[in-house]
Amino acid sequence: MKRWASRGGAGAGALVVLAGGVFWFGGGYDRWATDRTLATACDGVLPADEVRAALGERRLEAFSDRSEGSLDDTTTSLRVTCGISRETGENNGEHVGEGTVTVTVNGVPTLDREDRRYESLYPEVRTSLAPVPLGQGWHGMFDAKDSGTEATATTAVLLDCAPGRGDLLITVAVHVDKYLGDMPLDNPERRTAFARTATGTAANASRRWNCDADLGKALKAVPLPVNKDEYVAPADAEGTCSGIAARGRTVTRVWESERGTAPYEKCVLGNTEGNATHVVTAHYGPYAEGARHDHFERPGDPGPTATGQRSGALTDGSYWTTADCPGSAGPAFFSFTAYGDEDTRTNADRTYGLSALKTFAERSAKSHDCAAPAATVPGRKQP
Amino acid sequence: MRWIRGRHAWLPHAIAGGALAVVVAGAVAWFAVGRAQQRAANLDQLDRACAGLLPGEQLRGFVPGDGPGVLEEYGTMLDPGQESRALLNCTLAWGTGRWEPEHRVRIRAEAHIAAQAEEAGTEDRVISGFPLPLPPGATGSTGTEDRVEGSEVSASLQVECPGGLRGRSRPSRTFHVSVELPSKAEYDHDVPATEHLVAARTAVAIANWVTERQECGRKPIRTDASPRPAEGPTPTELCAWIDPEELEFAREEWEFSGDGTYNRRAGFCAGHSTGFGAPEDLPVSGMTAESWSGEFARGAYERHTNVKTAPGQRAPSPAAPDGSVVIKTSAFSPKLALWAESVCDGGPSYHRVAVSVSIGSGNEEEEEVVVEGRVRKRLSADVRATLDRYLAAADGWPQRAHCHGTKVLGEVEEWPR
Repeated sequence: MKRWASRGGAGAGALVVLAGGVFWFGGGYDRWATDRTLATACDGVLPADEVRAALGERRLEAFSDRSEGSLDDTTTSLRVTCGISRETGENNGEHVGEGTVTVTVNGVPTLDREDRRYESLYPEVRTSLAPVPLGQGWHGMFDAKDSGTEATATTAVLLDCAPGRGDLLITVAVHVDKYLGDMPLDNPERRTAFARTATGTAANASRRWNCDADLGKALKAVPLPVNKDEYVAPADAEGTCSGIAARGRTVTRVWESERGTAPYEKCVLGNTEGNATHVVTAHYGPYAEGARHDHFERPGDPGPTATGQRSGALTDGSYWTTADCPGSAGPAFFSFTAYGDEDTRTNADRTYGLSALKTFAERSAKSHDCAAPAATVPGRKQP
Repeated sequence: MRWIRGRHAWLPHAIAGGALAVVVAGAVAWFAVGRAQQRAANLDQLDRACAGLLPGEQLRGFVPGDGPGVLEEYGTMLDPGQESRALLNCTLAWGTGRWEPEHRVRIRAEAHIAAQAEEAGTEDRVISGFPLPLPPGATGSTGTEDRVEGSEVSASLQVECPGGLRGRSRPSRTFHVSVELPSKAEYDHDVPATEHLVAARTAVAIANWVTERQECGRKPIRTDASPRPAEGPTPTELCAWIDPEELEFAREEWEFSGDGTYNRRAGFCAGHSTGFGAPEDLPVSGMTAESWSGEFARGAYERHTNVKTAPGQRAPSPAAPDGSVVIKTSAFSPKLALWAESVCDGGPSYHRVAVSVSIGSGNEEEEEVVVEGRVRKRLSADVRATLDRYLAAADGWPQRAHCHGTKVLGEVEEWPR
């Protein structure tokens, strides 16, 4: 009897070892660990299927997982960040090399701005040309960068939470290595998969923090952001650059996106050599708050909120103006920046800059149902 | 149980062995069937992928049975509802590797908007080899590259579409086709000419697919003309007139390539010395002779005109009083071409004969080399002798095509000044 018992025990032990081996080597453990990572990182708001679609069926690990505040907190704003990276495996032509998804969820507006003196409030919109509005019911934008061996897609979504709860800004950057010559962002399916990581996170975040915002539709497609060689003559502009006049050899081409309801819009003006000479930008909601923080609060200036100033010039010679928007805590912020040496600028340059800013700001404000922007007077420079 | 221990003690072993053999045979059969099924599925995928534009026959040898192919396909001509810069983009990969899949096929057709076409026009372009004659409004080249497993052969083709192309937000009247195919050649320079031809034919098939569906308003490019066989130590019958010794070219071993069969639309012969180094007296170390008739003649003249290598486009190099000229050279050998025109069976035709010499260190850096007056004169005599021999050869293309009324158009110095 004893012999049978010990035999049975050994057999059961062998079965357990065998099952463990199958679980480990069959990829079961990796799947379980990945499921666990995706369920817990970023306070559990990551959309697991969307992240897997963007990074592939690989073992995924979390990094830089931090969380503070909530939408109900009256002193510390909600700020959640996390990254998911994929294990680099053999290259089979799909999901090549390294890949990461970096997520930031911010409560808007930022309450603890004094503590954020040395940093920007929200993830910067790192775009060389113009990001495209997401549309399909989402207030957000998509931007893509493609170099020889890597591609990055950044999607930002702004959720208008239930009254009294502020807003939520969700920013997701998907970064993937690629095979030389491949263009993952040109593939509509992959581009949409990258953007869905943000809309999926936004939907989960809205539930998680009781934001209760109206969500957009499930993304079916994402437009292509403009490329360096896809400029148009100023007179042919129909999007964010429409109405801005050409000027001699310094403004002969523009790079623009469609105009929508994105909280960040941009129009880049360029010369005959194809170099950018000026950029005009519209900031709404958190981006307007972030721009005021960067331009006035961080340098220690009283800022337009304290002084009541509605427009002016910045220390780098850029012009700015504002417009009041319904339902927003602060006004929209528009800026015009000329590249090159400020000291060599003429009065005609300044007049052109103010005119371009006026046209851009008026049209952008109108499409966002905001009031007419304040007129900018040249020479009123912030110290 | 006693019988087991008796005369038939071997029986249980035999049963166990038999059972084991059945299990092993079953596993092998199961594995083999699985592989065969996987390969059949992969071949089916290869035939169906990319609107059937991949050269399936030539790629069958790369199709594995131990794993599925990974296919990515998109483009506005495959799915007009989506936004992409590609009219067609397909990548099919097989096998895995640390850095890249074992084998990979990629084809892409992209409409070029005005700015891109303008940029391509300002690049310093050279006429590089496309192993098929091309009509007006088309330029192409083929190339090779080393890969972790074997090599890759590529073809690039730019085609005008007068009717305009749909798919880009900006107007477009030119499109570009690129093809990358795997090759089993260990090094890129070992890729045989037949594989360049497969890549070129694939590019032409894609270009024709695009021009027909986009209603470009141009005839399809023919792929039946002038297939060039692999290089060898003896020229083909059509190219037998090339005699480096008789023409007093470099006294080295030579290799030849050229048409295996006569085609009235175009002809091609080439040869190059296999020796290294640059002898002092700069003997001819490479030569080509090409002829084009009808629309291929117009296409060839147009391509050379675009890069300023058609006759009469450039003044001769300024010569010093002693007749010497300065040639700026890099890794490319400087060429002296001589053009002629005649009327042949295929219509009005152009002939272009070019000779090249090995000069410079062979490095990428550009350097200036002074070519003595007597050597420069001899080069003119060499290219003229080559043209005369080409036109007169009984088995050569011009005689087979019954060319007559031949007129020499002039020399073209194909080197940077």
